Amino acid sequence: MERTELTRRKFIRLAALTSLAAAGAKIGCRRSPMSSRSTPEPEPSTEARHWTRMEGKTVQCQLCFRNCTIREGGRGFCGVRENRDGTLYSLVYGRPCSVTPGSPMEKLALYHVVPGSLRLNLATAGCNFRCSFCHNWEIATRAPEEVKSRDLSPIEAVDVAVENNLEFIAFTYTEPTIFYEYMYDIARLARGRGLRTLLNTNGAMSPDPLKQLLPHLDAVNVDLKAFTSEFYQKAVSHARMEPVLTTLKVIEEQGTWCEIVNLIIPTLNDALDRIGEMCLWIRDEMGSGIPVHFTRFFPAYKQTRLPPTPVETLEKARDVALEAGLEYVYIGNVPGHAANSTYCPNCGRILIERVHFSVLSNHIEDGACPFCSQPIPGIWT
Amino acid sequence: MKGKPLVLAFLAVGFGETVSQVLLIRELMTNFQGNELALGVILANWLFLIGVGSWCAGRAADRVPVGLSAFVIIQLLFCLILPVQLFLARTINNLIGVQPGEMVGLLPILYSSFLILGPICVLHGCQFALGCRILAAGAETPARQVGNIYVAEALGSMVGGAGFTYLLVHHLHAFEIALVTILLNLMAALLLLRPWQQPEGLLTRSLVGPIILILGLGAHSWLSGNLARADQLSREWQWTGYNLVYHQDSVYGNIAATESEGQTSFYFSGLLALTSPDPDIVVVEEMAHYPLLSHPAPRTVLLVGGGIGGVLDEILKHPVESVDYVELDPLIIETAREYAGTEALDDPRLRLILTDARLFVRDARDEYDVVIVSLPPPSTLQLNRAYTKEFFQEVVQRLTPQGILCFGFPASEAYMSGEMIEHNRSIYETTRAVFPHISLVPGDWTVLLASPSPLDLGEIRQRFGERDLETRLLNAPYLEYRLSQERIERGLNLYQAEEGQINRDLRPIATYYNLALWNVMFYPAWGNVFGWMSGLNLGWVLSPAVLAVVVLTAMRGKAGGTRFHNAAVILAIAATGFAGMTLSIVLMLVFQIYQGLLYQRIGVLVAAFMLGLAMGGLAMAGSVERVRRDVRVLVSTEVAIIGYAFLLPFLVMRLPQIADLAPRLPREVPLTLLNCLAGFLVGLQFPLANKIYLGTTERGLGRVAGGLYASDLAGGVFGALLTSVFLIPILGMTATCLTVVILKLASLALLMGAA
Repeated sequence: MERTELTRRKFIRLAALTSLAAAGAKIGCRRSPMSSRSTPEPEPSTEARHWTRMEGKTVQCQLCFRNCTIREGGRGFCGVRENRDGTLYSLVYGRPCSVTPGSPMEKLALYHVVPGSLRLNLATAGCNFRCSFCHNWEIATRAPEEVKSRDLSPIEAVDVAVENNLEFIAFTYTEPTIFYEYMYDIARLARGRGLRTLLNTNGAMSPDPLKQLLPHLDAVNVDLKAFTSEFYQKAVSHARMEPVLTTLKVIEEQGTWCEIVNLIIPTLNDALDRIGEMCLWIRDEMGSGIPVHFTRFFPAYKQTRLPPTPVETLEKARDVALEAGLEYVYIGNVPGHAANSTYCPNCGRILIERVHFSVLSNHIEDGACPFCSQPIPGIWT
Repeated sequence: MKGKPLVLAFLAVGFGETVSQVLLIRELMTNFQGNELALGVILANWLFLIGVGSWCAGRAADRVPVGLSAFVIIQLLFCLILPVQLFLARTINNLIGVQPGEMVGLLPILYSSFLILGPICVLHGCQFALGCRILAAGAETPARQVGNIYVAEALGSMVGGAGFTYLLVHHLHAFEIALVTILLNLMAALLLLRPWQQPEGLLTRSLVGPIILILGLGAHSWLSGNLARADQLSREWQWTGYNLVYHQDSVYGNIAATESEGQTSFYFSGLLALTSPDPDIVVVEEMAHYPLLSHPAPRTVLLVGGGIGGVLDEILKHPVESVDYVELDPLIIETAREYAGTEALDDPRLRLILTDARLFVRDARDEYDVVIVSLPPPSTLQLNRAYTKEFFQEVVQRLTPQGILCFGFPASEAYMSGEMIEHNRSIYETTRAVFPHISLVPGDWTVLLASPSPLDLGEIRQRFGERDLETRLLNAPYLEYRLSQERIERGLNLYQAEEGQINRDLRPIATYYNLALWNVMFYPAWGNVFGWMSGLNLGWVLSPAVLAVVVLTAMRGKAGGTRFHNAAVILAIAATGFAGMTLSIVLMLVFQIYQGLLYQRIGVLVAAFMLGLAMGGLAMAGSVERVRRDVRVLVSTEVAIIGYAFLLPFLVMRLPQIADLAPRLPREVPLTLLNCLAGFLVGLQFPLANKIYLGTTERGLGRVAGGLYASDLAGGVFGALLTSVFLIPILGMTATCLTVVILKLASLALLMGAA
């Protein structure tokens, strides 16, 4: 019995060794159908801002609501801020993975900012949320070394916008909070060269860095994903809602132009009573003139079985918002829907006619309705 | 005395095994939105667990005296567990805490299929080992008895598979089918116990009561409607969070419809297929209008799949003369008519063709100005058939000189990962290998247009103005943005930057890329494994096989002749298990390519293999006791399998010519015969191996038969895991067959060394 066991074990070991050896000998003999994805270690990057030293070499990042405590050699939740020898570094400074010029303003869901204009989009790898319905999961859920990025200093980034005759630079796709330093420096430089800057955020940045950043931004789009802490907790990987509401209040206080997007996902955040509460909160805290976009969900990332949002749900949400007193309520992602256009809250005439992200006509004159002179808030020139 | 009823009981066991396999795997695939990788893992799990049961029971059976009662108890347990597991299979997503609608990765698929299949499979494995032990105890011809059981089980499987496909699934829901299986097994149990003959033993007598009780319970639950309620309830749990308004199993999978706020969504085997009345407007308008506007005057259109999702309505907005719309599953059309009220289906210009698209395109006579393929990406070998060079060549034959082929695939405006680029590049390159002119409209949904004549997407904008189409999305500024020369060139450059791999019928590499892309969603770190595995070549199989033979032969002196001899037999059976699984997957793929995925034919194909297996087993079991030089016979069967695997690729390549030799013969006959032959060769070995092993060992029969059965299944596990995900896509069909040749040559060398 014992001998059997011995030989069997020996056999397994031998077999394992031989197959390993054989496999090893064969590697590289033939061109692989998949190009190799060996990626170098991330370059030493710029020292991060908004963090503090704790005991020993442990640091705490204070950029977003997570306030990650990061031990030596570790990284924060976002995967792009690393503690090296007691100092926190940003691994994505000057290393964008997405640089796309020429994207329409309406695609960002900023309907009250120079309609029909085009912008440069910038993003790096990483995110401080993990939404199961993420559209950009291929960069948002990955570490910098798992993503193809390019070197692009803030000056060069601004150059790209200027070369492409683009007046706007937008920080978007992943959560720009996590490349705060890069964004901040670009925003300052861009302003200096007469460009304007836009932020598309989940709103979970901490108030201090946000207050420092806002003076360098022209418009912010905040994704208010739901009006329940439960949704943030479950669908966004232990995130919280309060920080997002705080962000909205800070933006309102500082007077930066802001629009709110609410992606309605069937069964996850489509309860009308919560949407109603959200609208009342927005009206009371942000005023009735802030544009609110209800957008249609389409299956993405891990949420491939949920159906697209019924258009009726979006329409009901819009009715609830209008009832609450909000004046500019849009339905997005439903091409051809009437609520994709801007109407004068006073006389009801159509002011900006939109289909999806194309602007067909724009009647606004000097920031006001040409028919009844009602001022329309926004950045129109 | 007890011999015949027990062999008959194995007909019921084989029937139960196949039917429960189909029932449970179908539910798991629906839950996990299954692709080829998921199916491989589930199948491998299935075989592995039966192997475990068989091996354990075999060891136990030799130590304790077991009688019929133990066998009957296991049969009873199977009857009790099957409905429970079926219920669990449907509701597993709730149990493992998956959000409604969320897709899961390979690990949850692995452990949940383990949980669902475990009890059933282990019981089946036990039944085999126990049955062999009982039947052979005291028998003069033990190997022959084992052979009989093997044959009966194979026949039962064949009947189960055919019965399910042609009869049961059309008339009964899953729980009723499970009940039929249970009743069959209970009756077999009664036949075994023969209560009318006053059986001996308290245990045996006391089993009769429970059997009759379960029989009664089953009949009552059916008649009282409780069974239907269980079916409904489990379906509702499966769709927790949805308002499920319709569900029906077809031979091709499950069709479900959910309703919310005036919107109906349809799911085919768990995959969201269409939404009514508001589809994904961007996709349906772009898929229909770009090709139709690229053509100066489209008159005839062929649409493959996806029509009721909205593309059909868009096509019919053009002044076309005829639209041929091909859809495989008639139930999809029926469901759409009833629940989505798709008016386009009643348009007089529409011709509905319910068949396999590949088959239709190959045999079609008409010519088309525009061919639109609206199918999901190639996540399975089945879907991949619409993305291969051979398919595109067939499409070209059906296109008018200015004709256009159009299809789409997911991409990303923000960032394209390496996996996604490779996947899309392979499809692009494959199209380019056939069509001289290609253009594409890049976007999160990229639309590709290909034609034998030059394409100018700029004309789309001009014609859009002229044709006066009523669209929700498309308008002049949108087209100007989407079709800007700069964007198109940026998209083309991305795919042209490097050479991509051409996707072939018999080397479906796009499926591999698709699985790599899917996998990285859950396990980014495994991306490198997929990249590394894609370098797979025959050397990876050859070197370890040669080394194993050398090392084992060298160890022979120390270990002693008998043990080496038996190890050689076990390895031969394992290699045959691998060969059986791999060759059937290869033949299934080839069959789908040449004969389509029509269930009437696929069912025959599967049954042919099982029939061959039974015939092989029967032929050998009948003569096994008379065979003297048994090792030499085993060696001959090895040579036959090697020859078969070696010749198969040549035969497959010549299939069209073979079919031409006898034009009156249905085209599926040669492949069906080939599959039957593969089963026959595999079937020959098992009874023989048992005899050889038994002749040289003191070990009990249960242990030997159980162990050999387990090694057969272990080979099958590797076949299930490797063949459809790695071997066929990366190596191609020919090298996959050569892998079988290499492994069987190695096992042959060991056998020769032993003899």
